[in-house]
Amino acid sequence: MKYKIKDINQNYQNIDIIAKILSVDKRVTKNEKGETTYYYGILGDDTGTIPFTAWTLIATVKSGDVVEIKNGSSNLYNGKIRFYIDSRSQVILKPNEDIEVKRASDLLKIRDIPSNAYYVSVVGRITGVSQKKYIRDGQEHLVYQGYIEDETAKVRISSFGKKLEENSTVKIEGAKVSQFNGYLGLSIGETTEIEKVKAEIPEGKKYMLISEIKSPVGGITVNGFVISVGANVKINRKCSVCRKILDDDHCKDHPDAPSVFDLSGHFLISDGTEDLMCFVNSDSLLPFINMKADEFQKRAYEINLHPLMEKNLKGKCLSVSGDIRSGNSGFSLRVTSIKDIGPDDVKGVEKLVEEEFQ
Amino acid sequence: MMRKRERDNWIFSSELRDSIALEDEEKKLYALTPLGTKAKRILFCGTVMSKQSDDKMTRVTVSDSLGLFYVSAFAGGFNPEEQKMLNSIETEDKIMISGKVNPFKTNEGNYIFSIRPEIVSNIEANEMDYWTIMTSYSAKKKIFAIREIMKMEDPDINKIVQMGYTNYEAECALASIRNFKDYDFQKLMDSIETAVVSSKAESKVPEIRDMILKYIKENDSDGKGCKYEDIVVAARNMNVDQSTVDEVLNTLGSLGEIFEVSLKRYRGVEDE
Repeated sequence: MKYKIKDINQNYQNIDIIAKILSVDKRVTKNEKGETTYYYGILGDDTGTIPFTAWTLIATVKSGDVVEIKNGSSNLYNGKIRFYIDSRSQVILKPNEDIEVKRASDLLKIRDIPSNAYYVSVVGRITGVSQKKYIRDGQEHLVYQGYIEDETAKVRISSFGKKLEENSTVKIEGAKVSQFNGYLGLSIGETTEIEKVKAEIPEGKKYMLISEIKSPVGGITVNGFVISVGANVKINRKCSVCRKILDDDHCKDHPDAPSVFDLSGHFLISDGTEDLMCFVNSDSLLPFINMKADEFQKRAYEINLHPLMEKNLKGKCLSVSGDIRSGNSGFSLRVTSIKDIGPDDVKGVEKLVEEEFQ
Repeated sequence: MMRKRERDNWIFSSELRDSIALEDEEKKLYALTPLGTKAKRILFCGTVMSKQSDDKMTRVTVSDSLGLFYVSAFAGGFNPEEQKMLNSIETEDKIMISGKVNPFKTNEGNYIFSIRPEIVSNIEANEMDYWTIMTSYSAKKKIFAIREIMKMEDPDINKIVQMGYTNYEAECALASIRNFKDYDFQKLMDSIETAVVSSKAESKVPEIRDMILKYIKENDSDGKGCKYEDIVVAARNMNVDQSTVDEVLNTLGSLGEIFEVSLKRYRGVEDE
C-alpha cells in the first residue's frame, strides 16, 4: 500500500513509498555467527522525514538518490518511528528523478523540542565551543561541539564540518535531534542550514514548571519546596581530570592524574505542579551547605552527609538549576547550583505563570 | 511492590474547607476538594494565628489569607518528631507545612479536615508569595479544565489532555464534576485572585514604607509636619491605597521613625 512519510505509524506492514535518501551509513556487527552488515540513515519526501534501517540495500545507493521501496515495514525504536527494509522488500533506484523534501519542522523554542522529533529549527546563542578531529573514510574531518541556548533552555550541539563560533547568535534550520546518555542534543550535518542572525538572547535563569518538562533539555531552573531527602548518600572516587568514577585509585585515560572524592545524593522537590528528583554532587551541594571543598576532601568518609542534607534542604524553598535527564523512571535534574529562592525567582515564576494564561 | 509517594497537593484553606470526605480502596477516609484534588497529603504556607500545647498534643491554626488550616501533632504519634516540630514555631511565624489530611466527623455530621504535620519549616515573605502564586496557578488550571469538561456531553479525560492539560488536572476535573455539580467555582476563582493581590501588596510593604518615610521627611514645607492628605495623594500617585497608607503610618510610628506633631500632621525623626 502506498504511503507518504507523514502517514506512516508504528507496526505498519507492506509499506510502499517513493523517497529521497538524505543520509546513508553502513555498520558491521560481529557475533558468534559471524559478521552482519546493515545500513541506516534518513529517508525524506514532501511530507517529512523518517529514519531507516536496511538489512539489504543496493550497494551503489548514496545520499541524494531517489528510490521506490516496496514491502517495507515500520516499528518504534528509541521512541521514534523507524522504517525497515528487509529481504522481502524491493528497492528500485530512480536515477532520473528528484523530489522535494520537507526537512525542518516549525521554529521551536529549545525547551519545546520534543525528544522524538527528527529535525527542528532553532535560534540561539552558541557557547562552550571546542573542536576535535576525527577520521572518516580515511580522511580527517573536524567536529565542533558546544551548546546552543535561547531564553528557555540549553542543549548540546555538534557540527560536522560547519564551524560553530563562540557567542554567535545563529538560526539553524534542519538540525537533527538526538538523545545521548539521557540528554537531548542537536547535530548539524551537510544539509543543515546555519546562518548568523541578529536576535536578543536574554541572560539569566531559564525557569520551568515541573509539569511543563517534556524533554531532557539543559540549563534550566526549577523552584520549589524540598519534600524529601534520599537517605543514601554515596562517596565515590573520581579522576580529577575527566571526573569518571574509578573502580580503583587510577584512571585508565589519565593514569598520572590524582583521584578526588565526590558525593552522590538526591532530594525531591515540589513546585505544586509535580515533583522532580534532583541529583547533587560535591560541586553543586557543598557551596550550599557552606562546606569547603578542602574540608570535604580531607574528611569525606567521616562526614555523615545525610543529616547535613536533611538539615540544609528539607522543607526549604529553593531555586535549583541544572540539566534535565531522561531515564527509566522519567525525568530527573542533574543539579549544577542550589540557591535559596529570592525575590527575582518569585518574579520569574510569576512571569512564567502569566505567560501560560495569556 | 513499592508504593509511590502520595503527592503534596498545594491548596488554599478555602479549597480544603469545602471538601467532602470519601473512602479510598482501603476504606480509609480522604478529602476530595471541589477542584477534584484527592488531598491525602497537602503542602501549604501561612501565618501562625494560634497555638495550644500540652504534654500530649499541640494544636495550631495557620492563616493563608483565605481562611484557616487546623494542624494537630501528638506526642505518642507514629512520628516522634511531630509534636517537637510544631512546638518549635510561635504565633505570627510564617511557616510551610506538608502533612497528611485527616477528616473528622463533627456531632452535626459535617467534616473538619485537620493536618498531621510531616515537615514544618519557617519561611520568609517571598517564599509565601511563591507558594501563593503557584497554588493559585494550580487552582486556576484545574478550574479551566473543569470548565472544559463541563462543556462535554460525554466527559473524556483524553480530550482534556489534548487541550494541553496534564493527566492529573484532567483526572481532577472529572472527579470534580462527578462530586461537586452545584459548586460555585467562580466564587472560588474570585477569592484566589484576591489572595494573589493581597500577597503582592503585603510583599511591597517595606518598599512602600521607605517611600512614605522619604516623602514625609522631604515635604514638611511649613515646619508644622507633613499633612496626612498630602501623604495620601502622593501615595495614590504611587498606586498605594489609603488603607495601606494608614497601616504604614502606624508601623512607622511604632518603629519610632515618625511622630505625629499635631492631629494628622507627621514629621520624620532625624538620624543622629
